[in-house]
Amino acid sequence: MIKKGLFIMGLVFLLFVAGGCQPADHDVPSDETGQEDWKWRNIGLTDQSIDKIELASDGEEYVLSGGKIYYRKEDKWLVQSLDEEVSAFCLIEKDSHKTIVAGTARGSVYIKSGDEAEWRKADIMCLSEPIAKIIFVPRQNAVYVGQSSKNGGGLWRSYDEGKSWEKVTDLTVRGIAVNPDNPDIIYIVDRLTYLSTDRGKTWKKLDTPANYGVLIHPLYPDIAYIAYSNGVVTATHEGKITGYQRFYLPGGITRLEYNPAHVSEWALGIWDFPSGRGGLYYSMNGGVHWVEVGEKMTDTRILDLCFNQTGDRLYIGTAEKGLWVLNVRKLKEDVEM
Amino acid sequence: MKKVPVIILVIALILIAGIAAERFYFRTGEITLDNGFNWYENRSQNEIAAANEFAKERLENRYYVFVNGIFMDIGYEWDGVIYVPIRNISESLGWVVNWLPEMQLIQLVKGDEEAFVEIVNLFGKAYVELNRLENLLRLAEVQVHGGNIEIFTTGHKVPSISFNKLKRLNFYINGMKMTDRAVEYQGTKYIPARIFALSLGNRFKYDAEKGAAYINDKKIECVFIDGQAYSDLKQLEKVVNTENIEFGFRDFAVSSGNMLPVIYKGSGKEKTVALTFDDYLGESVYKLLEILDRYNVKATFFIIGSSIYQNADLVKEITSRGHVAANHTWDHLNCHSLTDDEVRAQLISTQLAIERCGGKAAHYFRPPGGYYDNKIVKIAQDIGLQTVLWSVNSTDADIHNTAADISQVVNRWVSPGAIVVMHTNRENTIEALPGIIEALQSRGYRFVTIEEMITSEGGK
Repeated sequence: MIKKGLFIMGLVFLLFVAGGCQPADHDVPSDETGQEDWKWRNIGLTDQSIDKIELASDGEEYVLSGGKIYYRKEDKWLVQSLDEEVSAFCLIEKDSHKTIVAGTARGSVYIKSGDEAEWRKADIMCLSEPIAKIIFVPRQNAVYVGQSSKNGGGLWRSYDEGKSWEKVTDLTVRGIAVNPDNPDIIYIVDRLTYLSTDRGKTWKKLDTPANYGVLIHPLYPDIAYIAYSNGVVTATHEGKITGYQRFYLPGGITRLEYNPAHVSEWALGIWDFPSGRGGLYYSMNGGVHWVEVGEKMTDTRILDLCFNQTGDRLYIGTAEKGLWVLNVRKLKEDVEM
Repeated sequence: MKKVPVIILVIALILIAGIAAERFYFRTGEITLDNGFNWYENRSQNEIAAANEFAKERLENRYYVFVNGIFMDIGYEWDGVIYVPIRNISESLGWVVNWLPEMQLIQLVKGDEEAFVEIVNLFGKAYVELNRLENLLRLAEVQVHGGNIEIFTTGHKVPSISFNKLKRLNFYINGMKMTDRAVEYQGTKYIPARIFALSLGNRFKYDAEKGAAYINDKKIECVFIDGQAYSDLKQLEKVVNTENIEFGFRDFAVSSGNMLPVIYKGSGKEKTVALTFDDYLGESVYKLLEILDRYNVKATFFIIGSSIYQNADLVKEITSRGHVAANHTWDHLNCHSLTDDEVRAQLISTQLAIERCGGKAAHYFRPPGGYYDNKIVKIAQDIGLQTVLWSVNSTDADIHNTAADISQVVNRWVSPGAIVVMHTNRENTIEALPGIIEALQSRGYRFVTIEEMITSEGGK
C-alpha cells in the first residue's frame, strides 16, 4: 500500500514537474570568469555607451565611449586623453607597434604611437564637421578617413601611418570598405553607394539603394555585402548586383558584422526605435535564418560588434549598458541544443 | 507512520486539482469574473491598456517640426535620438519621395540628386533621424528648442499671424466638428486648409520654399496663422468637391457632457456575439460577405477610409446586405501620434467616404491597434462616434496562425455579448469563418451587429 502510494506520489510529482516547470536558463553569471564555461562577460564601462570597438592582436581592447578613447590594461580602463571630442578612430598595428588614428567631432585627425606622449595633428584638410569613419587596411598599410556632412566631406588616404595624406574624392563618406587582396577596389557609402576599381581615381554609382555600410569578408573577398536597413545586397567588384537578401526581423539594422573565422556566421544588432525594443541576433547560415540571442542583450541597443581573430569571442558595444563579450562557442552549443 | 505518504499524496492531489481547475475550468470562455469578462477577455483588455501606456510613454517627447516657419508634422525623441517624419518635410522642399517596399527604404529624388534612406516605421509612417535628414537634404539651418524643431532653407520665415490675437471659432462638416481652431480675421472666417483638405479625402502639400499651399496640386490662396495655412471657404470650394456637404461655424466652445463609455463587449444579458472585420476593403471582402450571407449572419466592418473610393460598390454592398460599415480612420495611423485636428480629419474623411459611396456610415469608431485615450474618445464623440474595441481577439492578424488556430481561439473564448475582432484580406480568416459560425450557432449564439448589440442591450 505504502509502495503504491509512493509510486503514485512519484508519478504525480513527475506530472507536476512536467506541467509546471520552465526550461532552465542557460545563462552563466558574468562574474564567472577565467573558465571556458562562461557565456557572457561585462568587461566594464558599465552604464556607458560604446560607439566603437577595436581589438589589438595581443587581445588589448580599445573602445570609443562618450567622445573618448579607452583601452584596457590589467583589467583597468584607461583613457587616451585628447582635448577634442573623438567621433571615430582606428588602431594600426605594425611590427608589434600600435598607433591610434583618431578623428574628432570638429573635423581634425590626430595620431598617437605607443611610445609617444602627445597626439600629433595630421596635416589633413577636412571640414570642421565630425569625422564619420576611419579604417586601416593592414595588407596595404593604408589608412582611410571618411567625412560626411551637409556641407560636404570626402575620403582621404595615408600610406605612411598618417604622416602624409591625399584626398581621394569629394564624395561624402559614412562607410568604407577596401578589398584586402586588391587595393584598387574601394567602396564608399553615404547618400548612395560608389565603387572605384582604380584606387579612387574614378567612381561608379552602384545600382543599389543600399547605403548602410559595406563589408568584405576577409576569407571571401570576391564579393561585397552592402547592408541596408533590413538586409544585405551582394555585389561583385565589377559593380554587378548578384542578390538581395531581406532579414525580416523586427526593427532596423544598427550593426552587422561577419565572423572572420567562419564565412557563414554573422552577428547583427536590431533596434526598433518607436518601441524601444531589439537586441542581438546571430546567423550560422549567411543570414538565411537568425537566432535572437536574448539574455543579456534583450532590448539592448547594439552600437558596435567586433569578433576576435579566432572568431570565438564577440565584443558587443551597447547603448548605456557598457561593453560585453559573448562566448560564441557557448552560444552555438545553446542554439544547437 | 504509515499515514505520512498518504497525507503527502492527498496534498499533491489537491495541488494537481488546483492546477487542473485553473487550466481547464477557470480558463474557459463561459466562466466570467465579476466584471463580466472571462480570463482571455480580461487578458486582452490588460494588453490593450499596457500597449496604450507604452505607446504614450514612447511618444511623450514630441517636437513640432517647422520648415521655414510652416508647421509640417510631429517628430519624436527615442533613446536620445530625434526622429522626424520624412515625407512631409522632404516633399515640402521639392523632393520626390518614393517608398521601396521590397527594400524597406525611401528613395529621395530632386533633379539630378538622389539618395536612399533607411527609415523607422511607426504605423505606416516613415521617420528618419534628424541629423541624417539634415545631411541628406542639405538643410541650411536646424534649431531644436522648446519642443520645436525649426528648419530653415531660405534664410527667412514665412510671415505668420498670431493665432492668439484672433477670434476663435468651431467649424463643422455635416455637423461633425472638424476643428476648434478656425478663426475670424479681418471680417473673414478662415479654416485650417490642410485639415479641411484631409477631412474631405483630398491631397494637401506645402511648398516651404515658396511659402505656398496646394490642394490636389492646385495652389490655394491662404494666410499663415501660427505656421499653418488658413483659407476661407470660397477659396477652398474652388479646389475641393463640396457637393452635398454642409459647413457651419459656431463660436468656440469646448464640448461638455458625459463621455460615452468605450465598448469592449455587450451586456451579456442575451446570448449574442458580434463579429467585426477591420481594415482595408478589397476583392476578398466579397468572399466574407458570401459566407456571412450563407449563414444569414450580420457583421460589422471597421473600414480604413483610404480604401473606400476605389471600392465604392463594395461599401454599398456591405450596407445593402444589412451589415454595418463603421470607422477605422483614413490611414490606420496610431492616434496617439496625431494632433487633435488630424484625428478629426481621419474620422470625418472616412465617414464622408462611406456616405458618398452610397453606404450608410454607422456611428462607431475603432481606433487602429486599439490605441486610444480619453481625449481621442472625446474627439470621436464630438464627431458623433462611439469608440468600440473588442473582447475576443481572434489572433488572425498574426500571419503564423492557421485557420484552425483562429477557430480554436474564437470558439473557446466567446461568451455572451462577446465582440470578436477579425481582419479583412486574410485567407485564413475566410477559411476559418464558416467553422466559427457553425460552432457558435450550435452553442445557441445569435449573431448581431455592433449597432444592434449596443442599442438593444447596451455595452461595457
